[in-house]
Amino acid sequence: MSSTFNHRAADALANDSLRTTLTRSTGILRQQRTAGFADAAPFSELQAAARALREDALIRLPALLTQLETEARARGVEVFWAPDAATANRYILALAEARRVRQVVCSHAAAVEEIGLDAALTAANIGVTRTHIGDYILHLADDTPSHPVHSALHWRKEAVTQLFEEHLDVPQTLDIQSLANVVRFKLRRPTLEATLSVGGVALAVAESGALALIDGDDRLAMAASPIHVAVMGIEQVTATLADLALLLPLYARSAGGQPMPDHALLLEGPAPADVADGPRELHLVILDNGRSDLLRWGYGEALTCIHCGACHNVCPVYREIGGQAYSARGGGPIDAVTLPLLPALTAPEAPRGRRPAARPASSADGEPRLAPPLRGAPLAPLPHASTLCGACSAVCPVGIDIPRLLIRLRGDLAAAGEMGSRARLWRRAYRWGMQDAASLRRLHRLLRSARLLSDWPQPASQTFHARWQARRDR
Amino acid sequence: MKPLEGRETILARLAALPEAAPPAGLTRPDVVAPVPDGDPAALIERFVQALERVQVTWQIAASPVIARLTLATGLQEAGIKQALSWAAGELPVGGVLEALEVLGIEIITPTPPLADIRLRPQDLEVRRRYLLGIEGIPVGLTGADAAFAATGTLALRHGPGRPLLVHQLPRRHIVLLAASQIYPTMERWLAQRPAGAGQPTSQCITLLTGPSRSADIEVTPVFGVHGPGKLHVIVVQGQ
Repeated sequence: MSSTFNHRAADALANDSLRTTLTRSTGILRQQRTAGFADAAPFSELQAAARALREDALIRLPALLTQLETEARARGVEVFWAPDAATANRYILALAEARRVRQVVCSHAAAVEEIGLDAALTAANIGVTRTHIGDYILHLADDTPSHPVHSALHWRKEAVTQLFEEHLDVPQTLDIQSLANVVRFKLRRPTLEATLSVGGVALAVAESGALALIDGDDRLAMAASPIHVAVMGIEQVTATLADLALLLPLYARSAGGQPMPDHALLLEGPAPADVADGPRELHLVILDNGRSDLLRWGYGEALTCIHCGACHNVCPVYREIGGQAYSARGGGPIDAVTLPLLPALTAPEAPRGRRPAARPASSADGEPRLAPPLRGAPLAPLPHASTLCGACSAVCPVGIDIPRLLIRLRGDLAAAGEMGSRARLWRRAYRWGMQDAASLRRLHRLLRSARLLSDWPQPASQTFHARWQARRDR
Repeated sequence: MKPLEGRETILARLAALPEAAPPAGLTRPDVVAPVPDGDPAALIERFVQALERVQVTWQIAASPVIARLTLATGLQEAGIKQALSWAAGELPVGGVLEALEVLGIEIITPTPPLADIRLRPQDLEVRRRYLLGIEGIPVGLTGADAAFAATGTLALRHGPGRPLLVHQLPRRHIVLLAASQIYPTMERWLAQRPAGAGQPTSQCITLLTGPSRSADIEVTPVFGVHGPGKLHVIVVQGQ
């Protein structure tokens, strides 16, 4: 994979097959979302209510997390707080070693992906089975995810069947149910034999310690595995069970037009001795890994995300370049905010040089915050990979104003000196040329004479305002 | 890092954040308009419509006796010889398991040997063999603790005599649901929970909305990869 965003984006744009696949699949997901809200209350009403719940949770984060911890411990859950990915991995590895686990099943979870648990387990000679179909495909192909819900969105069935033939020795078929059945068959034994399963948490309920797990691929592992580890970000907490009655349907309708996730587990603790199955040991890893920095830097709104992928499906940039162009662990519109700020989320792309400490920001909106230390941010181009059209915010179930965050981040990057000399020059030229019609014509002549932007059409002889005025006067 | 160090580190980071005003007024509006209270027939009608939307098949049995017959006939016609089931006392209709056994259908309530928490290899091996031994049983039979008409969701409490494996392992899952257990929405179900709601009522609750569904290859829906690919609900009236 190319090492910079610009190279990866250029590669993606040159890949017609990829663009066709992305266009088709995101189109289907958009249609499903529209159909999913056809019988629902006005979206703006639901969006506002969900946003308030998530904002409230972030504002009360210390209280809710400690309440969650208290309730979970009271029910026999082992709670571990991990300030960073390495600490989370060490905890899980130590657990696996203490229980002499040689094989782990991992379900689909952004937090598990984020900490790079696969690599840590593999390095410790512990086998990993991915139970999500998309993740299973990527694991076989040594590929990276491209979408938060459909990690193998960029794969076509023709490529999947070739992969399965090559690695699993099964005959080729283009029937997608048959391809999925292959995965079912291959996953059954390792899932039933696993002693340790690891997965994510959609939301943890502070009032009862319940963990809402909605990744259907962990359902069998949860029943069969004696030990389960759930990994959640600090932001994935909510106050009450009643919050789930709003947030789970909003997630499912936004992600794929379903009224609810097909399978959701509200897990309150390890299985008691008189119950035949379910995990005997339940561990909850509460992960920071830079999230508290996002809050300090005034980007906490991004943490209200419920990872439904709706913003990806409507984004005109994502539809052209796909998630793999954003970073080594995939990405999309919301990640264009978080990834440049948190290199810890993208471990393979370490920051260039030493990052300076945060300093007070000159915030135009008066919000007290610290400016993020963005000097050397490896993914600095991401916030510029947006048309700021606002399609993402319009469909976001919690109403995250992604364009506003991107503009703020562009400003912070510029303030940190993360704008190349060419970009600075272009920006000055743009600012000068856009002052009025005469300046625009001068800029046009200048650039053409310098043989730059030679395909830029001649500006209209009459400005829009002049034409509009003339039309009104008629 | 010791567990407490991580905790204190994270909480100290959060404590250092500037205070923010909480949003004014939290509401949890119904995602879809619920059926008006006091109309059981409308509630069932809405529920089965929602089931169809999520590819669940259904039947309505006018009495427990008809429910038993419906289930037994269906399994016999499908040539089922073995089924996993919740314990008899956990099903909403009495005599069901006896009726099936009379028809020659072997009923198993899974009791996998507990994997000792020390995970001794010999214990794990016994457990592994047990789980693989019941893996091919085609049908799982359960009750449900509640259902939500707005979304076609079934809520199944985990507990003694109610193994998760019954509704995770087989290819087909059949639910016996008392009509009185249908609530308009999840919100209404949560609201009627006993005083002290917020306290745990069980170790875990499974919410099922349709058969096991995935859409990971070209976003084309497929069924039955991670759990039962077919879900059938028998709504039992006259309880």
